[in-house]
Amino acid sequence: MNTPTTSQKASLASTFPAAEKHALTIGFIPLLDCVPIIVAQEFGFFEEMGLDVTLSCESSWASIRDKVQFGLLDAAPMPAGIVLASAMKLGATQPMVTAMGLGLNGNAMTVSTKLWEQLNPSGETLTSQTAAQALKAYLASVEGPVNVASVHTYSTHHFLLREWLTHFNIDPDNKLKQHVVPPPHMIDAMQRGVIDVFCAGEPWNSLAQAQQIGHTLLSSHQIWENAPDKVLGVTRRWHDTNPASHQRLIAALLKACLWLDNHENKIAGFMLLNKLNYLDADLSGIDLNFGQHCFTSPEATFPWLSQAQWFTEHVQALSEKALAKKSALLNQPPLTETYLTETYRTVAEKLNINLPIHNTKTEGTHADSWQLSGTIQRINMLPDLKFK
Amino acid sequence: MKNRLTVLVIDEDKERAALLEQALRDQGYEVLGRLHSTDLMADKVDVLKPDIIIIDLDSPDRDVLENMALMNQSCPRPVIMFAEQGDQATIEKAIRSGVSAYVVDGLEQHRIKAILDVAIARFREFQAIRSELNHVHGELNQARTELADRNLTEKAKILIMKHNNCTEDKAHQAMRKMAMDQQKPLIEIAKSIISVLELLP
Repeated sequence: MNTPTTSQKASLASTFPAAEKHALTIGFIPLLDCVPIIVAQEFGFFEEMGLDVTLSCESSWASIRDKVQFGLLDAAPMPAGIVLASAMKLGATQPMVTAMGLGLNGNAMTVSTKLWEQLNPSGETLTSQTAAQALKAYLASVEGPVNVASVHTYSTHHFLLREWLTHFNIDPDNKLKQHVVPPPHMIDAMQRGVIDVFCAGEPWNSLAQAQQIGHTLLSSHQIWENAPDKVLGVTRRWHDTNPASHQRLIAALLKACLWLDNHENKIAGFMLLNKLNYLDADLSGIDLNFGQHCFTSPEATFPWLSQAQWFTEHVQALSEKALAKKSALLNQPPLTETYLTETYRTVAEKLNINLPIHNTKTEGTHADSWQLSGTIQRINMLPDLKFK
Repeated sequence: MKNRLTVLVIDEDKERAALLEQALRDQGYEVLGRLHSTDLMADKVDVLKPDIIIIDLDSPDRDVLENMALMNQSCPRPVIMFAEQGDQATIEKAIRSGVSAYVVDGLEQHRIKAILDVAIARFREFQAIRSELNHVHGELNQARTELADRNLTEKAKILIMKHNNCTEDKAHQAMRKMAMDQQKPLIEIAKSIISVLELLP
């Protein structure tokens, strides 16, 4: 069983240095993948670690970033791209850091029912390749732009969308008009015909399909199976000032992720989001497992440098495009300054988590489960193939 | 740089937006418009080309402006980007008051400050009015008690889920069974579960 025993509980908190700051405010955007934060709060894991946490529901990633930057929030789950962009001074003045991933998968691409009928009239099961071929043929047959929405410039699914299009030789900016739309407005915007395609985290894709406004074109794991997404972001300054609080925060969240690393618990956790009014959406009619969220440690929670590299390349590609080849302006610090693998290791060791020997791994090439050397035993890794 | 600054106000709160617009006009700014949440926000900003956009910090539309700033060099950038160069205190005060701003490159610090001060004052005024209203609404207390009761039931359920490592349904069933067996209301059962399970380390 994943729930720690009483003796572990009593001893775990005492193995950490005293918290510099006890009262913490953590921001979150209501999506299924915020569940580790909610579980840590409701199950008292923060409290066990000597932290008095207040959760604050936020309405945009920009708001989360600004509040973290100015200390109105101590920490928040955020797309890894936002954290790595801040290290390059993009959209932020204070560099942010992370020492923990908060799960894999959870995103999808939804097309309007009208476009779905055009792309897939016979209702076949699509692969990333057949979906791309259908879209390509459709784009060749139409004049006007197809309106595509993501939730943030640096959101993971925006990167996955661009990578998928580019991989199958579709220009992401020709005949496709890229927009940003806040998640709670996605379904409404699609219903009114303002957008034809959207990329968002769950439950918004499933909800659009349940309401027969859209249809899932691809889930994100068909583009990159078990892809990383959100990380726990804090400013570098906050981490330096509150190293023990940071460790305790990570310990509580690792405990939440351990609890969630089991199908029944995960679904129960998602239902709690709605029951406790963290997520204002009716989850009763949808498949909560559709997003295939994974909270396994160390796989889904370790701050892999190889993943930081992938996010960084996408942030760079977008800003080079925006700045029209002024890439010299980008000051990119080493990834190890932003992804704090040692901090993760210090905490995870105390929870007896089997740790990888190396901070990087091969990304996106394993069609089946595979193994990696670990500090305790070999780590069973999930498939991570791209373009299924 | 033009002498008369052009401002766009984006705020879901219509009364606050109107108040701010008037205050800005009184100070001699040209207010290009007041937008509420709109699908065409990006297009409107493109057409209106404001020098500065004042937007509710908690507006979901901020990520739309963010995208424009990140992807298009000529678009107004988040004021937070200017924090290091200049007036960190004003920008912090703005954020604490719920004001967010996007400004075009090259706008002088004192001009940014002047306009932020107007917005901060109006947002604070509104905050004060709102908290007073909340204070007056004593009848909300009844609703609060009901919510507290519900939260206690949920809390008890979570304690059972955690303690027995079981699903929510099973925890709920267990509580209902206890309520029936002991012939007590669910809220009483919840309270005793909390008092017992919270004592466990």
